[in-house]
Amino acid sequence: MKKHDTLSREELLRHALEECLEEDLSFVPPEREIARTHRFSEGFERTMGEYMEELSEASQNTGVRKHFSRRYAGWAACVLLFLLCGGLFYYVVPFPSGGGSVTEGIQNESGSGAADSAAAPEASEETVEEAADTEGADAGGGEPKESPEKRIYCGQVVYPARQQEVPGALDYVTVLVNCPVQDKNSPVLFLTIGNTGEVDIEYFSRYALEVRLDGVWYTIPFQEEMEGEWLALEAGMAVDEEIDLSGCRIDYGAEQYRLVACVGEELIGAEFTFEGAFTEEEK
Amino acid sequence: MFLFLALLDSPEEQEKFTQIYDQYRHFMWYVANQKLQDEHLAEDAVQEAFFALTRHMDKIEDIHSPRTKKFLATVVRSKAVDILRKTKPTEELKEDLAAEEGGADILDRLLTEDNYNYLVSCILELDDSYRVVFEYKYVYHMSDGQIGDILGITAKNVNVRYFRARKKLQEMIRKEAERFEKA
Repeated sequence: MKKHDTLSREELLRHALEECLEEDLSFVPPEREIARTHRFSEGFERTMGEYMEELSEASQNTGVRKHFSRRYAGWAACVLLFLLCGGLFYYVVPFPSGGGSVTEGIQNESGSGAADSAAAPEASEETVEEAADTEGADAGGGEPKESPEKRIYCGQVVYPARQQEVPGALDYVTVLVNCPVQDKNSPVLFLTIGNTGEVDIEYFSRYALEVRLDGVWYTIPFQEEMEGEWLALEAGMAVDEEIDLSGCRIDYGAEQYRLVACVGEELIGAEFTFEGAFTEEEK
Repeated sequence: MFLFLALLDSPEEQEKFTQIYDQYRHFMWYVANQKLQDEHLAEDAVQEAFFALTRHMDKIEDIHSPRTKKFLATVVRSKAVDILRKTKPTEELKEDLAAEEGGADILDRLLTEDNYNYLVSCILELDDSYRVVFEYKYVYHMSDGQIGDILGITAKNVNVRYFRARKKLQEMIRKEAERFEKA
């Protein structure tokens, strides 16, 4: 027992905590001994190897970064202009079936009506929870995937989104963010869900934030798990959902992000980017 | 990506990080595995711990010191707790409800030298999700924001967890003292 005669309450507690830590660690064998009996999995070694590589590259990149950013600013402006024009064209010009984008044309297979979608909200809840809670999927073992193609993003593990191709609009519903180029200083954005059909629909008020990295969409976990519930949206009505991204770790450097919502049985997403994505990095 | 890598911009920091990884990864895995009883989940905890560590390298001065070892143990244990919380959310709920029943916060009154032995035995019994908050706060002097960053919760929730931890601990100390009095 250590001397603690003149310790304040706080010091007493600290003392006790340290003593407990020491006691706990006294049962841990030496590192070498553990290493002899345990080998890390390939997945672990690979992920940590990549991480270490990124760490060593980071210092080399710092000098190049500004030049890189400026050089690509023009290129980025063109892409953004193209996206904006595409968005305007898509949403302003009325398509009879609501289908306009290339990706949507490819993957809008189901084409089920709003009434069908609203019929099975429970199944959809699972879908959106899986999309939103990637870590849970890994730890809980919903599917026996041995090594998901996870990668590191902003100091956290992110997993590929379950559904890579998510349409921006369905026959009876559209989703939009308040601005396709978001202000990175404002963590709050608005997602507008519009029911353009003739029957009421149901949507789940919990959304997945995804980032596109090397052509693959990854789900960014929220630090605080969002609560969600099924809400009805009348025909011909729209609703603005306020989404606070301050609970997500984002670097603002990726080209594209999207918010994915679950409407009935379908996932639907709205893409956006951040204004600083191709200009100066913050740090 | 640059945002967090920037925290390890200096080659010295990166070297330090690599050394810590080489020296302690097995130790950290062992600590996590004790808690999780699952080799693969323990690896996940180690990974998450190292990612979190990138943002808190300032807490490590001497790589080889016992304090560093303790800090790493706390970080990896908190990550293991986080994994457990995600796999068994109901357990946490039960724990929280139990803590809510602890009554007014009188822990300060119970933190006396006479109760020191009770305090130690109660801390050893205390749920890790509470204990790590105490450790971060009192042993490593971290702010709620810093703790929240490691635990993946908001500073406000760190505070909530801290007060629950206090109530839980005071309840345990009181029961322990009563038990010894009766005996």
